[in-house]
Amino acid sequence: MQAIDTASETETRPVLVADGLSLAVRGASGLTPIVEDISFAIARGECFALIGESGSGKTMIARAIMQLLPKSLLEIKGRLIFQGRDIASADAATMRSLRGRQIGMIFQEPMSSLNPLMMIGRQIDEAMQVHGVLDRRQRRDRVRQLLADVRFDAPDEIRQKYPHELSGGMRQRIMIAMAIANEPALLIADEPTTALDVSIQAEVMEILSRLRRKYHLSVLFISHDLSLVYQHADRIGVLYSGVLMETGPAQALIHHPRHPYPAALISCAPRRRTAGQRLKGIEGMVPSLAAPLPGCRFAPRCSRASDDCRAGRIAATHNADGTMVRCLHPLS
Amino acid sequence: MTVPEIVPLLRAASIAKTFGGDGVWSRAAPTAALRDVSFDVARGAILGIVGESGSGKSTLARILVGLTDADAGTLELDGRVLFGPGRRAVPTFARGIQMIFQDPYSSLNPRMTVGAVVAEGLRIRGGLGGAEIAARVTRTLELVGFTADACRRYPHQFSGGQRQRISIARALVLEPKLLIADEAVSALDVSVQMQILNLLLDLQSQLGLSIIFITHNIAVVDYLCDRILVMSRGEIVERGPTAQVIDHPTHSYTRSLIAAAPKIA
Repeated sequence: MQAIDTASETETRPVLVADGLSLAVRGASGLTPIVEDISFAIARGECFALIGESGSGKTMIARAIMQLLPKSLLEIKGRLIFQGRDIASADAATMRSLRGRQIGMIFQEPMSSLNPLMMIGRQIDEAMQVHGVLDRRQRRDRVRQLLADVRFDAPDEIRQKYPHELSGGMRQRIMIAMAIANEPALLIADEPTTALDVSIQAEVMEILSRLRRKYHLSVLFISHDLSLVYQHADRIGVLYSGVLMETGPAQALIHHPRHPYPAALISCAPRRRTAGQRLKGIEGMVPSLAAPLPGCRFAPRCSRASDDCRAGRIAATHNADGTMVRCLHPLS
Repeated sequence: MTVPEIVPLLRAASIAKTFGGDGVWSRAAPTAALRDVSFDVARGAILGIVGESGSGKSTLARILVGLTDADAGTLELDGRVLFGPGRRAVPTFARGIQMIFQDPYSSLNPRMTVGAVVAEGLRIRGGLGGAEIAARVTRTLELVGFTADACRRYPHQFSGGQRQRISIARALVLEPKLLIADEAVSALDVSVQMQILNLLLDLQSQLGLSIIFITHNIAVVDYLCDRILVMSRGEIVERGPTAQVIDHPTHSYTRSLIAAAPKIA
């Protein structure tokens, strides 16, 4: 543990800082790098979105923060500073006290995250009981409050239901209630609405946004959906093949991306064709993580790439306005 | 005098389907998955069907292709009755309708080479020699953007987008008149999604293929489809040219579906 901060420092310092974070998975054929030299910070009450396509490493970052994979399997390098202390190499007991207490998490598939044999009320209660903060009566009141927070009109009825009796959207709302039960400082939402219908997706995102404000939560929102991120995140980090290509405020990044990858991603979002005109997708595919390229990972698919892009690692350029872009030939 | 151009390729009339309620152990009330569903698909057109899960759109697709039987209704393709009152239903393989599915990982047999996967339909249908089958398989794989050497490889050697193109080749090799794509790009990344959507547009313009594209993504329909059907609780609640329906939705359900879809403003 580090020195106790003053109250004002606690207010202003970021809830989570990833500083030069690199992740590698240990397999039969040695270490496979998954994520390379990633840095970002999430301020108190802020929603920071990591967006990327499958295989970009976004879920692994979430798992590394929560240390959901054993150290023998996932190698973490660099620093992960949560509330002022580095948890990248924290021991199991420390992580147990943080997980679910100070850092909550919701996953893509709510059904497989809930215990099918346990009533809803009991499951939410258990999330609090293990951390021993409240007594039984306080927890009971809190369960009611949480169910109301995630918009159940009849909390007492829902408490006595089993997961299979609820729809996908309702289950995800239960997951949110469980994740925020202990009033964590940070909520990690890993593709929370990907398995849900559009209209339910909107409702769940709306609940998340409202609770973020109510409880002054910081949110790490992981998604592949540009338009969803655009609507709900304060800032965005764009991942490609394990490398953070650009970070910036959501509005600015979507409207004026500087890195060619997010620019291409935004331009190929489906929309109406005028006069039969086609949108161009991004040619080719995401490179294999097992055989990383020496230069920019996006270079083989990039229309602006030149020889220097392929030569070596591209350094991140940090701008005065707090944005970052990792490109030799950024768009102006 | 007949005007053949006006005759639609597919004509579905009063299709109905109810699930459950018939078993000895069934306590649940029967659920009407489809109620009196009637629509046409014009030759060479792409029809988008949207609706949330449970709206009946996938059940409808399965009935069209023959994976599920309808309780009532008539289906005609190119003037030929595929099922209808007092008629024996035409089996799946003989319908001239093929389907591609959402998940390109689970819909391809991992133990078969791509060549064998694509050839299987032709083998089952019979009537062609080995050399002719091989030639058609190669031609179809080339049509969806592969070279002939893809035949000898296995599905796991391909990415999600490539697998979805293999699924399309498997469907097209049987020269269907109608292709049904059920959430065919939902599992794909955005950059790959556009490649598949453009491939479908190519197939429409080059082969004159008619397509029914089932999705929950309004933006994809806006890009791809000529017309749109909106389904809710087993019924068609709105239909029309895509731009018109999206710009001026009349049904409240359609409005909520469009409002719920996030957009980059």
